[in-house]
Amino acid sequence: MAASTKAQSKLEAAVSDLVSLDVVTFTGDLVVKVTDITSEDDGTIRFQDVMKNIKGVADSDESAFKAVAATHIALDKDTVQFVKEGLTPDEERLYALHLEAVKTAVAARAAMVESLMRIAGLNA
Amino acid sequence: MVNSGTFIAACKSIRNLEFSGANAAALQQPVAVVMPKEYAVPYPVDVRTSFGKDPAAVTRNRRGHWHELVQHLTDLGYLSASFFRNYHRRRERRKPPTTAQFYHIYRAVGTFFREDDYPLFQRLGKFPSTAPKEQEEWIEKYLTVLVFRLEQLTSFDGKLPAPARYRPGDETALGRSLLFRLRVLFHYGEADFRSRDYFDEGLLGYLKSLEVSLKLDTSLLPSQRDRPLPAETWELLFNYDYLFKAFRRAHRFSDNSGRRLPYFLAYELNNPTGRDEREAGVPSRFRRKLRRQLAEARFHVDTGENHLGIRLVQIGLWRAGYYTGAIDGEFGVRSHEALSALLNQEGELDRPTVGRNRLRNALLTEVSGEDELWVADLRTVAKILEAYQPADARQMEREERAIWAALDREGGADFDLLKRQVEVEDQYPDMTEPSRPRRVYFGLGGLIRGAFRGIRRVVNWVVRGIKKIAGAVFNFVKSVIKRIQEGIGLFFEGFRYFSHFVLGRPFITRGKAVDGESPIMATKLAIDFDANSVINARATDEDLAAHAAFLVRMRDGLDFFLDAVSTIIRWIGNLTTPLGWIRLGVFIARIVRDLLRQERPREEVFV
Repeated sequence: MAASTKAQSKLEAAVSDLVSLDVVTFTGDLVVKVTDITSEDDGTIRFQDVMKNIKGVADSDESAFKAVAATHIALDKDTVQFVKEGLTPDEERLYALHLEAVKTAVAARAAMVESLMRIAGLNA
Repeated sequence: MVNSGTFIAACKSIRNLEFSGANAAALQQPVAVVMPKEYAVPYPVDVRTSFGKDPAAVTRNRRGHWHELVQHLTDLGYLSASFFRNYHRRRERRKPPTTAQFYHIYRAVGTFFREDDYPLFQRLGKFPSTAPKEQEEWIEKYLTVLVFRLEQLTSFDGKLPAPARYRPGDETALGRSLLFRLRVLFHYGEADFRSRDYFDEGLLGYLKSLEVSLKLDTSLLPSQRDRPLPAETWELLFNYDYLFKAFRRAHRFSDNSGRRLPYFLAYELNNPTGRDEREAGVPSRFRRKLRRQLAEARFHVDTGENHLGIRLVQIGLWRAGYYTGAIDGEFGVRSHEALSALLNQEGELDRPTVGRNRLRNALLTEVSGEDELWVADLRTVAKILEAYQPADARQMEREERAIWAALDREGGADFDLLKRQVEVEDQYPDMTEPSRPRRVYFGLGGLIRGAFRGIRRVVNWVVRGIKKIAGAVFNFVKSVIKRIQEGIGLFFEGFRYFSHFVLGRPFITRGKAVDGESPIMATKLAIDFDANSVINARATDEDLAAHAAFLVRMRDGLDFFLDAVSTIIRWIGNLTTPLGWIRLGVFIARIVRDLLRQERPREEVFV
């Protein structure tokens, strides 16, 4: 197997799904007490504590989060968007943010694939 | 604490695209534990954390990078000299800049970014036009790139190629760079320079003056109005070594028989302590020689009204790591002490640049009452300063490798940089003094050559704690710190993105707190390319807009950072020799430098 083919296979193995991109936006009751996640030393936010908080909410009640929008982009650039029926005005506010997340995910995907290929020596 | 060997091993695995749990953990450790808070998540952290009170804190290098940014912006006239002094007055009191001072810096950066056509800038996001918080975040994000480019515009090491499009009068960063160079070289034009921000046709007379005093065969002026400056003009003004060489060629004196005549610099220093010449370090037997030489000398000081020659010697002494005063053409106590120290260092070398006799006669004195007459042999001094000329890239690598090998042999290659760099603090000039342009900038080449010239001193300082910290040691510390600032700064910034994708850690924005509770907005972009956003239903429109704006800003420069970090990880994965963190930082910086120069690292990159 040629070196580049081997690396290509590795890339495919490392990344479970190279052919599509799914972006989903959820909403729910996700708040944190500022004092719970803020370092006393310097006022910065403790990342691990935020994660613990999110996980705690999700574990205690799986229905705590509702999907309000989902976008599926296939490799051939066909795009399918799902938006929850009957969005409340509050949920509609999230749609603009969802579109930004899609754009960021597309940009990140392109940059990350390029980056992984460089690391693997495919386009160094 | 993760060790550098574990990190290198993780990069090797990533190079093979193996994202196992252990590798992910090895990546996570530096991100979560080792990286300074400036690179922490959520992003951004207030820039004021870079300006903490502890002089030995891990944020020190980040702070140093900010100081360098301010210095270069001042050199190019984006910030005023009085702003610069006030900024450093607060620094001396270990206080962060005021809000107003930060805003000044942000505006200066915005103007610079707009005026400069550095190709890499096109890969970065636009500079935010109004919101100071976003401007702050932008500068923090691109600090390394900004400082690198500013360094090119203010350094005298000849690294900037002649620009094709510049015309005198253009209101660009290059126009400011030319003006800065004239300010360094010419004292008598201060009134002309003060009234301008950019070089223009009204200043062409200074180029003519330089052309005449250096007796150049070619013209430094444009061939006609509205034409570009000749390449020779850029070469001369951007490269100290060309300039100094031209000066020396123009001041080579011979008698009728072709015999080279001496070229001296004679200066008097006030000697308030009344020390005798033995204390001044000059044996009395040289007195007779000194008198004879002075009697024979036809040219003592022939540097013109502007003292261009003295300025050039001062710049050379600065590059050698000894002089930190103003480049003002006045050869006073600081210049004298710098020259003496340089000659002492040369005397310690196994193979000094000039013979020992010539070295001994390079600086002679006669003390009379409170006055000291000193006579420096400028031909010898110039010959020695020439030895500090930066080597080409390959030779520089060899010299640097020799420094690290010497430290390795003595077991001091992984010294505690944070503590030791505090020791050299006194060597930095007093930035609060009002002064004419006090600083010239040299890139790494000059620093490494300087450290290599005094390699024994470097080893003695690192390993044995001997406190001779000027000259070679100062250059060594600066060259290492510079890399840590530059390389680690950019690597960490890129690594933040990379590790978040690999580790699947979300980017989080915290909304405005109500009754002590904050809504959370999180977007996770994982390596499987699926993205999830989790948004609190209580988030206000303002909170949502903040998170959306964050996602937009994150896209800016993303490919640049991932490009940089993947190149670095690939090269770290190539390492076969164990390296401590300091040397790993230097190694990373070497790759970063190539990337900022928009070159791919060479295969035989230094290890």
